[in-house]
Amino acid sequence: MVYITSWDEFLDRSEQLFRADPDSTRYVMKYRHCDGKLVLKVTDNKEVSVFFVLFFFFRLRQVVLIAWVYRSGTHWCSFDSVDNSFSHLMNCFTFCQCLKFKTDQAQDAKKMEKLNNLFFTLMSRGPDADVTEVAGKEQTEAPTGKKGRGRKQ
Amino acid sequence: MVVLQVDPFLTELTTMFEQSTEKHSVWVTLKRSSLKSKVQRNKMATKGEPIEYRCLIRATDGRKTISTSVGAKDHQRFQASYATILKAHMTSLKKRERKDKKKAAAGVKTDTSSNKKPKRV
Repeated sequence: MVYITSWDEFLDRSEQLFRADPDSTRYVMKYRHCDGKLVLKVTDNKEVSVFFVLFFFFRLRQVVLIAWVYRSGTHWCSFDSVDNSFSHLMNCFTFCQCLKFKTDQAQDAKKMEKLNNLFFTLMSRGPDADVTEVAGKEQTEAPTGKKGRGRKQ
Repeated sequence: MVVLQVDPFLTELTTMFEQSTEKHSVWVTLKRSSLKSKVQRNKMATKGEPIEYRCLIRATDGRKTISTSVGAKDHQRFQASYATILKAHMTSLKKRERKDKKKAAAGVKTDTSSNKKPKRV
């Protein structure tokens, strides 16, 4: 599975994944000291199947690609897109929805702490729990004191 | 799998981190669970009893697995001590390179400010 590079995307999507099915989503932290690696993973172990069907409209001279995304469980969604290249008639592939984030930076450990807190709250209190305190970005710790000190001296 | 109370779990987790510094990884999994089997859950659902969910925490280093669970009341205390353990043991992650740059930048700034100061005076 591909790693998500943006932390904010990982954070948003993992929360969405959990809220979609709280009872079957797990959050795994893997830490490898000897390599200095930290991997975070959020998955619900459900298979996602994507079916592609191509329709050729002679009048429009266009190939319309219709894809159905099927998620084992309750979710059905579909999207349409127009494609002029006629490559295949029908295709289907299945993959497991799994969000992964990899880092070797100490600063990301702090971000992980926030995610830990979020999941602890959501999992023990339920998905309806108030997470504004947890998710509320505590980024008021910017060290602005330096300039003041400099001026005072 | 060994199910432990919260405090023994944390001490076990600490030793697990200490023992896996040269090789091995440590996995910690969080999952929402009712800690009951599907049959029990179905029975409770038919009876109309509310199902209590807790946060199940499992940790393994590939050789040994330990687990514990926290509820709505005690999760904050757990997550605080869990965070301190992580902070104490995740020492092999790279420190921010920006710090040096910041220091350098701060150094430059102070230099410029010191340059400016005499002008002001």
